[in-house]
Order: sequence, then C-alpha cells, then structure tokens
Amino acid sequence: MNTHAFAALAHIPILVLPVGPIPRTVFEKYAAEIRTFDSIRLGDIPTGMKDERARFMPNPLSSGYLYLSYPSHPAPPRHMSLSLFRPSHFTLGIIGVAACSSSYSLTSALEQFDKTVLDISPEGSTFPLAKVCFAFEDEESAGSTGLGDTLPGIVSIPSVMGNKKLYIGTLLADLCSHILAELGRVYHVLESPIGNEYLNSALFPTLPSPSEMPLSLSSGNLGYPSYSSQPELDSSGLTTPGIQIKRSSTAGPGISHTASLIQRQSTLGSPAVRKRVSAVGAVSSHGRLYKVLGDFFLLAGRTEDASLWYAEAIVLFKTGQDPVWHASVLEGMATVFVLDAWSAGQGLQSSVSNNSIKEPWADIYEQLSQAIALYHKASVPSDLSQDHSLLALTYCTAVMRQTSLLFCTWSTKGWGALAFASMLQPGSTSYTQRTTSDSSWTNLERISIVSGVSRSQIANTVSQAHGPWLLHLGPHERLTILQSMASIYSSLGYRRKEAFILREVISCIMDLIVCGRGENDLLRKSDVGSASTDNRSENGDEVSIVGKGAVGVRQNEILEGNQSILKLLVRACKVLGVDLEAVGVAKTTDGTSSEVGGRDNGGSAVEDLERPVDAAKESFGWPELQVGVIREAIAVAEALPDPLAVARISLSALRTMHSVLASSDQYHLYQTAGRALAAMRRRGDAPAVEYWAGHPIMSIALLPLALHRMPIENPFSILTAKSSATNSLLSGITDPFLYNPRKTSGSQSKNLIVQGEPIELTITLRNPYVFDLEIQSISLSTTGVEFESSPVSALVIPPNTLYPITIIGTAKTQGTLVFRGCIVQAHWGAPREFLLPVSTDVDQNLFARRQSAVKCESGRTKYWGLDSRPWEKDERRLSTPLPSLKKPPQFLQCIVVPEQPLLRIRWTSLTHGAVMLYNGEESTIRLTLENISALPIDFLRLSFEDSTIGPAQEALSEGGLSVFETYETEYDLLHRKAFSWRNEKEITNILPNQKVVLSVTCVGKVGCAHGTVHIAYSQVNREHEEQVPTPEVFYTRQLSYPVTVTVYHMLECHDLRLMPMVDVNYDDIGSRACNSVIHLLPEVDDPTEWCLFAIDVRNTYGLPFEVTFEREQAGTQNAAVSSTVPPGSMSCIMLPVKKFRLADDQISQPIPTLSDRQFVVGKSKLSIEEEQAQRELFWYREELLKIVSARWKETNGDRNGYLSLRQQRLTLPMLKALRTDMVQVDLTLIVDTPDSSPQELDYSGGKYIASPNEMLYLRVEVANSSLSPLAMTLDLIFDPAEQVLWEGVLSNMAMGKLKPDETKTVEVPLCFLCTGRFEIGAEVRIMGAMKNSRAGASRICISVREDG
Amino acid sequence: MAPLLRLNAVAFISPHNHPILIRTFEKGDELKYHYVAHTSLDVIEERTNGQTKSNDCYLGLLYAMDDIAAYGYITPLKMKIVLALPLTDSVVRDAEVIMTFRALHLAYYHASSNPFIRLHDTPAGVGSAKWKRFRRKVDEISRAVGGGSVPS
Repeated sequence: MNTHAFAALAHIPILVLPVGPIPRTVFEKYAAEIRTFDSIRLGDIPTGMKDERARFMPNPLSSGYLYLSYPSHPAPPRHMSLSLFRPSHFTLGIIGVAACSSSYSLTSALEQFDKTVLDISPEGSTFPLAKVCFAFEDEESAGSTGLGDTLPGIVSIPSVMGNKKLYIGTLLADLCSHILAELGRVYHVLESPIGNEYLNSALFPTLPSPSEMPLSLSSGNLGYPSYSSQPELDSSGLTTPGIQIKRSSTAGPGISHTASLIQRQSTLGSPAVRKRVSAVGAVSSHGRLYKVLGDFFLLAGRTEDASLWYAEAIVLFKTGQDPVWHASVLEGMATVFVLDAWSAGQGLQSSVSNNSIKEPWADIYEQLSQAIALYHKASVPSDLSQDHSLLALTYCTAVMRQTSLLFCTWSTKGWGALAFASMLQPGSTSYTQRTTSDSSWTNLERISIVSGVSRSQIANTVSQAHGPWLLHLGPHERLTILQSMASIYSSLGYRRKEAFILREVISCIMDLIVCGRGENDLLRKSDVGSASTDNRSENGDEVSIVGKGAVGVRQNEILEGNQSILKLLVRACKVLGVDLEAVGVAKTTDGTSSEVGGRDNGGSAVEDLERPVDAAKESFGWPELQVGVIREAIAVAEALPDPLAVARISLSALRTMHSVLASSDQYHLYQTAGRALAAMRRRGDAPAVEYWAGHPIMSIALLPLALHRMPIENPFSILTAKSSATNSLLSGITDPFLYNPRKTSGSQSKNLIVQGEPIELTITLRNPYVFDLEIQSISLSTTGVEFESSPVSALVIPPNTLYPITIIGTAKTQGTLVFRGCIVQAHWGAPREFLLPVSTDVDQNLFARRQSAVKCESGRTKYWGLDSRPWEKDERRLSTPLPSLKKPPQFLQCIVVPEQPLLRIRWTSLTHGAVMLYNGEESTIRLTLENISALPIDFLRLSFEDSTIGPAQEALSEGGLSVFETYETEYDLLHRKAFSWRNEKEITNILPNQKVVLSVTCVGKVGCAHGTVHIAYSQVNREHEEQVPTPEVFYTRQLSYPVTVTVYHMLECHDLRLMPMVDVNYDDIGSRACNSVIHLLPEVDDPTEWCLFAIDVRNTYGLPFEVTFEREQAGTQNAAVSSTVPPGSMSCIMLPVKKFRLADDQISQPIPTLSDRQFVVGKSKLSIEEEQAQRELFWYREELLKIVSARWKETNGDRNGYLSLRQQRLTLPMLKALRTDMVQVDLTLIVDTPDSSPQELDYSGGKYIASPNEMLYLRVEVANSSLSPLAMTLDLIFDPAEQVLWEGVLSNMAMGKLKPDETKTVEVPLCFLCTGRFEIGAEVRIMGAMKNSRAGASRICISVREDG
Repeated sequence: MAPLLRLNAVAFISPHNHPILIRTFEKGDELKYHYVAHTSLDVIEERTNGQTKSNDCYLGLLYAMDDIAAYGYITPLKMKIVLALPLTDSVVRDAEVIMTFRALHLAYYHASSNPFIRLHDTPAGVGSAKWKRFRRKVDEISRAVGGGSVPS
C-alpha cells in the first residue's frame, strides 16, 4: 500500500541512504528519526532564492504543507522516461546518513556519499534534485571528528546536541527548499520554446542532458556550489565527453532529434504521428507544460496554483490529442481535491458532514475513472516495450489510486479526516489495519454500511488493474501491484481472490528468483541497494518481506526468504482448502524415547479419538483447484529449493487429499517426497517430517498362547474346597442364575501371559494409497512392566490393503503390561506413536453417537464458505454438543504372571489317541507326564470332558425335559462318566524332569465320540517369594489330551415286560425262553407273589455276546440268567422277580434332582393323580433296577461290561404286576363231597376242572396286607354270567373294615349250567375311594367238562 | 435479433461451495474457469450476506477480470450457478442472462430429481457418469444460447 498511496503525486520522495561503515541498527535509528517528518509546513521552508528558482517557493505565511515520503529505493533506471511526466515517481532528494567517528572522517563520508549517489542515479537523470549527507557523531568520539569543519554537502550532527529532532526538521526544510528551487530551475528550462519542444517530443519525454540543451545553461547557474546538488549532471557531462561530443559533432541536437523522431514515426500510433509531425518545428501546445507546472505546484504544496494550472492544461487537452497526459492531469486534480479537503478538515476531528445527496468522493472517483479510461484507450507505439511498460505502470497506478480512494474511505468508515490522513500518509496511520483486522462478515458489512462504499465496488475497481498488461511491467512493479491487490482483497475479506492473486505473486517472485540465479552477477550489479536499502519496514505485510527475502536468498543462504514464500503458499492454499502443513516437522530428532516422552498423553489420545470422526468428515474444496495448487506449490518449493518443504507439501497432499488424487498423482507425490527427503539426507540435514500416512494401525491383537502354555487363574479357595465337581458337571455352568447380568461384564477376560515366555502380537496395518508404502520400523509402545521386543523394520505394505505383521516379545517381570499402541516410523520420517485404545461397548456407543452427531452436522450449512474448511470447522461449536469422552481410553492390557512350570505328555498307552470300546466296556488309559521346566509341580488335578456332556448339559439347561427325563440325564452325567480318575497313588508332586504315570478309566458310552483329559498343574507353594499380601489367586496351566473314542453299540434291550406269574403259561416259557430260566421256575412257590421279568436283547453287532441278568433281591436267593445272543438275533431273557411293595411315604416323594439347579415352575400340567402315578412308576423302576442288573461278555473273548437297562420304561400294567396288591384276594372253588367235608376242586394247568350242574362254593378270602385298616367292598364277575347260577348279590358286597393282616372270607354258592370255559373274577375296592381304583383282584379260570 | 450470448463456462456450485459441475466451452483453459468460479464465491458471499436480502435469485454481474465477466445466480436452496461470459463491448442484457440461468437451473433441477444421484457426494459427484445427462443438457443450453464450441 505504501507505494500506492493516493496522494503520492503530492509527495516529495526522499531516499535515505547509509553512508560508510554504519551499523544497521544505528542507521535504522537515525533513519526512523528522519522518517518521522512526513510533512513540513510551508512556513518553515527557507525562501531566499531569487530568479526562476523562486517560482515554487511558498508564499510567506502560507499555511500549506509539503508532504514527504521515504521510499526504500529509487525508481529503476528504465522509468527514466517518466521523469517529466511524473516527477513524484522519482527520489527528488537524497539524504545520506553517516556515522562519523575518529576513524571515519567527514571528508571520506562525503566522498563515499557522492559515490553512492552517482551509483544509484541513472545516467543523464534530472534527479535527484538535491542531496545532503547527515553525519551523526558517535557518542564515544564526540568532539574528535572535527565538528567545526564545514564541508559543503555534509552536515554533521554532534552527539551532544540536545534537540536533534528539531535540527533535523530544519535541515529537511532546507533540503526541501533546495528541491523546490531545483524544480523552478527545471521548469525554467522547459518553459523555453526548445524545452517545450522536448516536452512534446514523445509520449514520455525526457529532458536531455544539459550539454545537449541548445540553450546554454551555465554551469554556475546549474550547480549549487555550496551543496552541489547537481553533481551527476556535471559529472555525466564530464565522464562521457566522448559520446557527447560525438553526438553533437555528427548531427547536432536538432538533427539527432529529428532522426530519432523519424525512427519512431514508423512505430507510433496515428494520433501520435500526427502530433509528432505537427510538433516538429511548430510551436507545440502548452498543455504539457501547464501540466508539469501543475505537478510542480502540487509537489510544492501550493494547491491553488496547481489546480489553476491543471485547469489550464485540461482546456488544452480537451482536443483529445494527448490522452495520457490528459489522464495524468485528471489524476493530479483528484489529488488536489483531496489535499484541499485535508487542509480544510485538518484540525477538526469530526468528519466532514456528508449530508449531501451525492457522495463527496464521487467527483474524484469520476475523475479517476475518466483518467483510467483514457490510459486504457491510449495507444502506444507497439514495438516500444519501454513505453508499453510505462503506460501499463501509469494505468495500474491510476487504478490503484482509485482503489486507494475507495479503500481508504471504506476502511476509515467514511469520508472524513481519517480517510484523508490515510490517503495522504498511509504509513502514518495504523487505523486501517486495525479496522480491517477483524475480518468477520459482520464487521466488514458494518464498515460497508457506515462508509457507504460497498466492498464489491472496491473489488471491481481493483480488478481493473489485473490484466494481460501486467506482463509489460517490470518484475518489481508487477510484484508491488499484485501485492497491493492481494492485500486489498485480503482486507475486503475476499479470501479466494486473495489466494488467486497470491498465486501470481508467488510466480512473480519465483520468476525473480530464477532470473536472479541465471544472471547472478548481472543482477547484483543492477539491483541497486539490495544490500543497503532493504528496509521497507513500515508495512508489516508479509508480501513485502517476501519480496525482500527472495532477493536476498540467492546471495546468502538466509532461510527467512524461503520461509516467507512458503508461508505465502500455505496461506494461498488454505483458502482452497489444502493444508500444506498437515504433516508437521519432527521437533526432536534424538530418538524415539524423547518423542514418546515429550508427547502428551492427551494430545495423541485426542487425535486417536478423532479418528472415527475423521472418517465421517466431508471433504472440502475443489479438487481440480487443489490438485493444481499442490502442483504449483511443489514446483515452487522445488525451485527454491527447499526439500523439506517439498516433502511436507507432497506428504500433506497425500495425507489429506488421497481420496481425490489420481493414482498417477499419488505415485508422483510419493516419489517427489522420497526424492526430497533423500536429498535432505544427502546433505546431512537431520530434521525429518512427522509420520504422515494417516493412522496406519488398524488393530493390535495378542495372539493367544498355545493352550498348554496358557495360564489359568484360579482362586485359592479351590485348594481347600474339594468336591464341587459334581455340580459343575451337572449344570455345566456354575452360575445358579439363568440370567446373570454381571456375567457379561465380567466375561472380558484378562489376558494372561507368563513372565519370561515369548508372546506374539499381531498388528494390522493399513495402506490406503495406491503405491507401496514403505515403513522403516514399527515397534510396540508399552507401559507397565518391562517388555522386550524387537522392532520390525523395513516393511513394505502393498497398496490398498490391510497388512498384518507379527511382533514377538517377552515380559521381563510380573505385573501388569499395557500395550498403548505402536511407534511407527516412515521412511526418513520421525517416529510417531499411535495409540490404539480398546473400546468397550460404552465407548463404541459414544463413538457412534459422536460420529452420527458429526454426520448430522455435515449436511447442514451452518458454517459455509471458508468457515467450513476442515480445520476451522473443528474449532466451532456444533449445533448439538458432542458427547464428551469421559473416561481415559483403555488399552490392551495383559497380566504377567510369575513363571510357571511346564508339563508334557511323554507317552500314552493309546495309539493315535484313539480308544475303541463296546458300549459299557471299561478301559484304562495310561498317561506318562514329564515336567520339563525347572520348577517343581505341587498341584495336579484332572478333569474330563467328553462329547456326551455337552448335549446333556444343554438339554438340562434348556429345561424342557420332564422331571423323569431330567433325572435320567443327571444320573447319566453323574454316575456314568465316560472318564474318571481315581488318584490312588495320591500323585501331587512332580519334581523337575520327573515322570509320573496317571491311569484314567474310560467307560464306553454310546454317543461318546471324543473326550479330553485336562491336567491342570501348578506350583502353588513358592517359598522363595514371600509376598506379604497373600495372593488370592494362583495360576495353573492345563495340559489337554484329546482322546478319540469309538463306542460300538452292540446290544440293545427292548421291550421290558413284567407279567404276573399267575398269567404265565409255563409251557410257553419252556418253548420260548432259550435260556436257563426254566430251572429258576421252581423257585416260584406262589405265583401270586412273583412276577416274571422279561426283556428282549438284540445283538446288532457282528459277534456273539453272552448276556447275564442277575437278581439280587432281599428275601430271595440271588439268581442269574444268562444267554448267548448270536449276531443279528434277539433273545428274550426272563427272570422271575418277587413282587414287592414300597412304603407310601417313599412313593409320595417327588422325583429327586441330583443337582441343586434353580427350578423354574414346571411346565408340565399334570394333575395330582397323574403326578402321583408318575412318582410311583419312578420309584418302583428305581427299585427294580437295583434288583436286576445286566452284564455282557464276549463269547470268544474276555471283554465284558455292563448292559444298561435304564432306557427301559415301566408302564402301569407292569407296575401292577410288580407291585404286591394292597388287598390280597384269594379265590377258591369248593365242592361239597358226599362225605360232606368240603374240599377244593381239582386244579390243574392253572385252572379248575368242574362238572356242569354241580353245586359249588366260591370262597373269596380277602386279606388286608397293607399297614392300615381298610373298609372295602367286593365285586364278583362271572363270565359268561348267563350260564352260571349263583345266590345272593355279586356286586358291592360289603366286607366291613379289615384290620391289617385280618382276613375275611365270603362264600358264594354257584352252579355252572353248561360245559365250557368260565372265568370268575373278584375285585376289592376301598370304600370311598375312586371307582376304578381296585385295591386287589384275583381271577380264576374254570374248565367245565362233562367228565369232570 | 440481438447478438447471441456466448458462454465461456458454466459452474454449478453446491450450497457447501463444492463444485458440482464446471463445464467449460473453451478449449484448454479449464483450470482458469475453475478459478473464476471459485473467486466469484467471494462476491456471492458478500451479496447474499448483505443486509439487503433480496429474494431475487439473479445476482447480476459479479465481477470482471481480465477478459471474463462472471454472472451469478443463487437458487432458493443456495445452489449457485456462475456463468462466465467473454468481456466484449456488446451489451449484455440482463434478461438474456436471467433466461440462461433459469434454463440452467431447470436443467439442474431435472438432474437432481434423479433418485440415483448422490447430490452431496463430492468430489465424486463432479463429472461422474451419473451426471452425463445433466452435462449434455448444459451443453445443449450453451449451444442454444449462442453456442461456443461444445467440447467433446
């Protein structure tokens, strides 16, 4: 902005130069002191001049000001042509600042100063008009520098002087006076006709050197001996006499001029040509002269005169023949207007009232617009790039002037004193920066409303400067113009435009850098004062820093310049949504440990937690632009060259934009970064970039230990409590509750690892890119006990894959070990720790909620535009607060248990771990164990598992079984285990390297396909480690030996029958039973007391088996029946069993359960009677199974085993047959014999033989065999009843109450009327009982025959 | 008959300021029009955030830079359409520009009615196959309005 101040036309630029050996700080101090004078009152200017030099001297007592500006360097020599067109563009005065000491005298300072001025002033230039050297005296050398000496052109300022400032002010006024005088002199030259001709000779004419001026200007007139303010004019004349002479001698001024005109003619545009033709020889218009006069008056602070002459000039320019000068006049008039307004408003702080309908600046704006239009339309000689360039410069300057008008008005909130101040002295007021520093929308809008200038108006104005003509400008001018544009856009809040312009700024700088490299020497020479005058410190804008730094970088390796360019890049890229600094530079390089230690836990944890949120984040920006800008940025960084920046930019792009990058771009970026990092390494630079490739760790998992190595935690209480095994076996789950809410929470089992034994961890890595991602090393980050692991190095992850790796490590001591995550180091990068928390359900819930909150937010337009860039959005409040994560993250945790002994199975008696059994067969497995560790084992316990347990437990836990089935299943589980171990030798201690033999019994059980022997062992008593708090748990290891069991099902029992002996046809038995039951039959003394147990045994196997059923019943002799069952056939086994009766209280007991499981309400809806019957059946069956047992034996071998009868069911008829009746009914048929003694009828073959029509008596003896007195009735049934005569009633005969063991006899006379087969049945019922419940019954068969 | 408008580029920009479709009718300078559309967002933001909120969709001339004049249009759902016209001396009548914008808006409206299009799926949304018809439509409009060469 400094270079484009609105009122620059009215500024007298003064260059401040260091002279001689002066320290930078000292120079800065004095220069700053000088620069505080930005205006000088006209009244302070000494006016002692006569003649033409007095023309621009202020009138006495005039109230105006001279405005000074202090550019940092003079106008470049190629702008020389503007010297008459725009004198304010050049440094009119030069002040040298020298520090004089005893070693550096005033004379040498003056000499040096003159030399420097000569150096920087272009040859033949009119400027500078005046110069002076201030020699500041050192503190220490006060008085010794010859203060008294007064050399012309140098003013010494002693250090003892009190009010230096006042003195400097006076000196400045003096200098200004000389400048004004010189202006007068220049004008005097122009005033002459030949001067006017020169003035009108070209578009941008220059004053020829004095020697060429036909009007002889005496050197006495020219020079000012006391200050020698025109030495360069003299010296140029002196040093290049040959050229001058040659020119003047060959052609003379007039001719040479004409020649040059002719030469130019061909190239000029038509209006210029016409003017030129008319100009030669003829008297030119005085328009330009008046304009120059106006310019000079403007510089001299005499605005009335200036506007007067400008008006004159306008009149002459109206013809439109000289548009460029016309436009310049308009610019000057605009400046005059503002100056007038400034002096009018100076002093009163209130802003000028702007209640007029038209904005007060509208006129100026119009004038400037007109000027811009004129500049734009002005035609230029096409092949004169010099004029092109200058015209473009004037055009751009005019545009910037107009912009400045609007911008100053806008930024100072309206047309007023502040606006004028900022237009006149932009550097002096920081008000602009302050107002526009707050770039929120509201503020910007507020300013627009207050000031009445809309931002788009300013933007439109400034955008006029942007165009192809910028290419005509010199690099420095282009840079300043672009920089000004960028800063205006930035202040307006047009961030995108700013970025757009900044790109051009950068390319401009890069052009300079590259050019500078190419012609280093040349540039150093022409780049005047790059070493001495780069002190444009007024404007803190980074752009100017960049400009300065960029120049400096090629000579000495100052990094600031590069850094500033990069800063600029980053700023431009951020607007486009590209974060070039997404990958940071590693701060410490001395290794992993400090990196991890320095990193705050919370910091990386937060990053970790953001990971899922990250995924939900929407992408921002315009991919095409982003890719383009990244390419540019890399090109810039490579050109600088800054390998670190190249690497950072490419890696940042890969990290943030890999989803939109094409694969070729990804390859390219990766290779670029690799090259840059390699270059850095070659140079020996230590710093590396941070790890960049996102979050590479997907998961960490502890591989479970081998089963025989895995320690199992046990409470110490199991050492004391011995027999809880049955319960656990039955219920399967030790939990007495069907639903236990605590169980799930506790199910997250602890990872147990053993001290000193290696463990394996699997780390899953992810590569989201399309190239092979190289990772230099990965190591585990752990806390807790010491953990030793070797890092994995030189890893290549294939593109777009998940890649698991395994790390092996060993815990050194016992305690708790936490795996926090991994430390990953990319190629040439710095190591970085990535945490990987193990998320619980709650955490995941929270994550899900956070994620959905973010997702929900992403669709909304609450923050839009540039506010929605990812990194800005994060800082803002969401419409609903994210659920915060309260808990610190949990990590993968392991408990390292003390060293454990290790046992192995040395030998088993089984081949291939397989055992083959017949159903019910018993076999022994011998296991030889060996302790292969150095620790003794003092705890050994075996448990077993087989394939029948699981289904049975499942059926039990489902609870769908009836009570009876439940009992059966439980019985099976408890009493018929497939495996068992009787620790007969009490083996508990196994010393190191000792072997022991265990014998495990295995019983063949149908359905058992495989089983496992678990041997749990441990060292419980550790004397050498006396821990003060006795641990509550100890650890065991378990050795498992799987056994494949093949059980052949060869014998099946079917069809259990129990028949009352009464009904048994003995002949039948003899024919059917192929076994030795016959010889048992005589045992049966009373058929009513016995029943016959019969069962079919089928042999489904290929070998014959001998089956033996044994009876062990109280009150009888033991008996056994055996039979050989051939393969594929079925045998019926019969065994008489004595009837028995169980006591009522035993029967009424519910079916017991063998476990103490919690019972739900029974599902079966049985009535009481049914339930009673079921219980009765159960108990009788139990009793029967106790009495009868079965064994089998291989016929041709010695293998034997038990045959289970438990599958057999007892039915109600069987029960009746088995149970002794409550009441015994005995039927006897008695016949009266002739000798009148009644005797029993013939009984043979299970029936009575009777004759028809014979009087018989039926004697019914009823005996109460129960333990309680019973009242009963008797029913008699004859069949067929028609052929029988009887006396009395047959049904419901009251028997009365019978005491226990009391017998009552009833006799019924009867007569069979015909021959045939008759049956008589008797039933006894208990009085009051139910109708069907007979307490006892009996039946006889009678065969009535004629011959009986 | 007034001289036809020539379109240099059309940019459809989502409410989140993501590019939806940027169609350039000038060969070889696609990125420039991306920048034109992008920088015009500055002005659009100013216009729409201003205190005078008009209900007019048409934002008028946004800015002129180099040889391009950018015109803006914002739909009620804050989708923006930016039209880049060559800066010539001939008068550009607002009515014509508005008509063009309406046609473009309608084209977008029809395209977004496609239930299979994922409207907010940037950046895949740009120029994906699903937008083929939309692109064709935009090309048609450009041709109808005054026809730059339609890129293949």
